[in-house]
Amino acid sequence: MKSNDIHFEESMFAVEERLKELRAAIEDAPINLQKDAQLLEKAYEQERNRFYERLSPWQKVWLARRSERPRGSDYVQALIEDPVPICADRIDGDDPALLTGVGWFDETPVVYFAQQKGRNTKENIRTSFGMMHPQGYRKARRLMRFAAKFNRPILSFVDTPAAHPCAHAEKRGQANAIAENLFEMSQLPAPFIAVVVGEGGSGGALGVAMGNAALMLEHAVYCVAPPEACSGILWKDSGEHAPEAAEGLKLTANDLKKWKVIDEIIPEPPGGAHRDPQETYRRVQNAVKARLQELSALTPDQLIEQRRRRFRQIGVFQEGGEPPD
Amino acid sequence: MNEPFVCHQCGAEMEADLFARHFKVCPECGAHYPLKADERIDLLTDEGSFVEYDADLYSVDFLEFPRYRERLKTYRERTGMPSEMMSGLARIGGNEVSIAVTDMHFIMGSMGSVVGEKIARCFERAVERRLPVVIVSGSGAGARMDEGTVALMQMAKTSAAVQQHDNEGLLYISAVTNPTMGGAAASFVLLGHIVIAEPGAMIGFAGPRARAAIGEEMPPELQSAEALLANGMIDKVVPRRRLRQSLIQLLEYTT
Repeated sequence: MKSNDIHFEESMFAVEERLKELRAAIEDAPINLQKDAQLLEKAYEQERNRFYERLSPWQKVWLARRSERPRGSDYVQALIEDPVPICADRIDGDDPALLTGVGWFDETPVVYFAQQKGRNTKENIRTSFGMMHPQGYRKARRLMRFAAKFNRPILSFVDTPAAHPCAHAEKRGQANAIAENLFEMSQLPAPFIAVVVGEGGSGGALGVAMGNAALMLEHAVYCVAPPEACSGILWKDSGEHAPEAAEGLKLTANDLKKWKVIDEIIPEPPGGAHRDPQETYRRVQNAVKARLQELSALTPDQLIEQRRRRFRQIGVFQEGGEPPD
Repeated sequence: MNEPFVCHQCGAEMEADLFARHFKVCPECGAHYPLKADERIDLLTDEGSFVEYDADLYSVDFLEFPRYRERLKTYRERTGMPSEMMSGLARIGGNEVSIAVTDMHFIMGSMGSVVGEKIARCFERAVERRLPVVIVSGSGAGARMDEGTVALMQMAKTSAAVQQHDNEGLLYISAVTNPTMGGAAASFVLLGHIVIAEPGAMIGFAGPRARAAIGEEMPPELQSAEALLANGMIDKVVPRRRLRQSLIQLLEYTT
């Protein structure tokens, strides 16, 4: 199997299908083959786990984009009790690409953000494939101020290919809207936890994700530009070098932890978050709970300071000496 | 003898010296061409007042990104500059400022770790000395792809630096030049208390490639300084020859 094949899971699905058939067949078999089937299944599971541990960055991009993965709304439903959507930017209109509101997380009143991709064409048209407009960022900003006023933690579930690049978004100040959010998050006196659950698409993601802590699901990706666009810029093609670009961008959770862009990797169930959503929610919940507990010990000033320091230290450069070769 | 200058916009031909004396603005049609960082500093600051800081910060290829190492080397040689940004302290009409200027001739002036660090220090110096900040940006490519998500995080780092400075009650004037897009525009650039742009400067979030991805045609005028002014996204459009005077006026009014 080539590392840039985006249908890389299909051969495994085929094996799973055969194993299921085998199970059914041996139920009625005249001799007992249960032990053999178990052995086969076990061997398969080991092979599968090893496979998912070794995914290439490009394969992770495709896994992170799978429409079966839990959506923003699924995380809200699973983790937020009694959610009350609050959805006005008071200027333009609602943005279905970001769900915002208040609710309870593990007995703590919180503000939640969840970027929302669709599962099918109809949903994707409604939510612009998870690409937010300026009204989405401005709505989030209102909620940030609400969180600041009532000292409520913000939980943000990140899953977007990018901020919407359309003419309307430009006209209404997409760049201003994101910049203002970064400013607002810089002075936010409440705990802020970002969880990258799918695609962390550049400024479109960061505009609602400047947290005191950033967590990331094992197979999620977070990048400065989509590998396809990066391939176009570097190789002047229409995305054929995207697998190499994905490699170069270092967009996987493991890489990002090394550069301190994220603080913690949340392991996914075997085969990815969508294979066992309940288990995924449970793991996300536990990780967020632990962070929240840690952060709730800090005063508002300490929270602002901790967040500032967290981002202040990100960056790699050489100071002094001869220019590097 | 230098090659004569030919304006791409109106076709006017003139001696290179004349073009330089007009600060690289076409005297016929007013098209603004990019200045080098040192030319910009000469244009804006009081003679002999600029003291450069952090000149010895260099980008490094820490991700082993395809061709970044060679590109850095090529651009250092071609421009004679250590990086895409000059920053320091200076006076503008007698007003002391902390200043930073990007040079789009160096990998489009895009924002990687060096720009992020220089901007952060520029604001920190201003906080220490209670100074206003003037930033002249031209970051055509936004966040620098070659530094991956670390480049993206410079948006947060620089915005936090702006906020910290703002919190001290100090003034930040952002002057935007052609082109300023993506991650730079969507962070420190548009966070100025006053945002001024040069005529015709292209400013916006999504570049042509991002738009191509959704198959949408966008008239380029929509991202012009003039359109941003009309749409209420920036405060002023000022021609290059009047930029220094504009800055002095605003600095005196607020300090």
